[in-house]
Amino acid sequence: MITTFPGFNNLVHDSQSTFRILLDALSRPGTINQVTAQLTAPSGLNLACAAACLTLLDLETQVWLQPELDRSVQNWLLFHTGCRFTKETNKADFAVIWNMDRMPNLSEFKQGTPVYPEDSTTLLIDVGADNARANNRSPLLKGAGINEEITMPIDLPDSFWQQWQQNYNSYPLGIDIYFFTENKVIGLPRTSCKTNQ
Amino acid sequence: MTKTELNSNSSNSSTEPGFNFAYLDEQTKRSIRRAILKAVAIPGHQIPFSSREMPMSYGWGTGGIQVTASVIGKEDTLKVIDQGADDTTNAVNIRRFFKKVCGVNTTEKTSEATLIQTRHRIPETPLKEGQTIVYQVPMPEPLFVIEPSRTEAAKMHALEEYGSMYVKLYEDITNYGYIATAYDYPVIVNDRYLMKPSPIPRFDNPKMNNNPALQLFGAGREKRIYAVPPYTKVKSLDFEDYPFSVENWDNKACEFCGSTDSYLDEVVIDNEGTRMWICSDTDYCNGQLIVNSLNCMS
Repeated sequence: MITTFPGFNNLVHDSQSTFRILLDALSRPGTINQVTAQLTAPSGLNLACAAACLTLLDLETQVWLQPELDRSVQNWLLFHTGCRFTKETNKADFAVIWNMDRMPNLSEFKQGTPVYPEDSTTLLIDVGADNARANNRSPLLKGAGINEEITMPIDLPDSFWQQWQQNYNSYPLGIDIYFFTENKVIGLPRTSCKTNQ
Repeated sequence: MTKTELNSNSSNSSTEPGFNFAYLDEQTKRSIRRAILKAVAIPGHQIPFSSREMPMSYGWGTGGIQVTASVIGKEDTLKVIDQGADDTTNAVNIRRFFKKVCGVNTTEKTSEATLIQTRHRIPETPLKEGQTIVYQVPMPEPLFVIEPSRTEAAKMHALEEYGSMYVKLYEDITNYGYIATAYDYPVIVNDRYLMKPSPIPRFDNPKMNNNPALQLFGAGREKRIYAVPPYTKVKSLDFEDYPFSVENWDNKACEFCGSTDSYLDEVVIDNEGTRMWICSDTDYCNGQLIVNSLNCMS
């Protein structure tokens, strides 16, 4: 038996409600959105990230898992979604990241092409409950989906924001990110720009 | 299809048995959902998607229906309009379709709807945060009139090569003295992509700019999805000396509700060619009538 954990209780409605949360999160960057679906996630994934995987992944998607992610995650994803796995970051449609300190540079993921900028990696990052609050270093975001400005509600390292500035500058190419903490989702699409404070 | 999928409808007795919730299968919904998310991330850029055959012909809103079907949930309240009206054939049938395959609540009131599918109008009542509007799009490519080749048009988008679109508007000015494009008036989204807003009247273009609602566009035959997130800049193309302007009706008012600030339709009412002018948005018109009658009573 490759996995003992079930997926969604109700595949149709749980994936629909999770999709709407993801859609809200991406169309309103920086807002905190709560996943309502219930499920038992394998160790290494939090609930929101696991729900997003079940909603977005299937046999058409190439997934990169950050090394040392618990083996049970790969088994669980394979069983429930049938997704394909790749070891090359620049081939991945989605990347699941559990440790931001050791993640590859954003530019190593698939960036899309000028004609097909959508052919790029979407990162699913578990940031852990410790980072899940804004502090006085938290930057303001501007861009599509944001009314004037919004404070990024999670604490992220400076090195990340340097890479993000490059990602923003290469628009319309670039990657999009979802951050997950427990049952919450925050979206950061490539249109979001960190403002100078 | 798993057992849970088949059973998902059985709890709601008002839905048609034998269909998955919202008609599409889960695999199709997932691929459309991924396309919608990419569309939101790159506002105004057209994302190809594997458009399915729907139980109606292309040209009747199959793109909008597939987007709505991938987004809609059992908690949603759906409104469907066709040229602003809730009671025309296309609107009634699409509303009935979703009632049948989802059992969702439907409404004619713009303010009560969480999801609005529209053909060729944006409601007069301003949209709110949390609402989603889905446009039915016949031809998504704004450069089609200039460059018939898809491959070339895609390259022009990649290079942000939109000069020829301005030339087309300029030709209007030299021929007619003003920009004659009345509907599907091209816009630039988020300072980057040239986008067709679907055949809404030019009157509705300013409503797209900085709108608090999420705007999704689906073209079924042309197999493209695109989006404008909330609070996003949408600028109608124009020139400094020929600024963009909307239609006006020389102080004509709606003959039902008396409104002078809504989009008016011209209706021929007899064989002698007598005409009347009425609001295109039926929900707004009814609302104004109620406001008027309350004012009379007080």
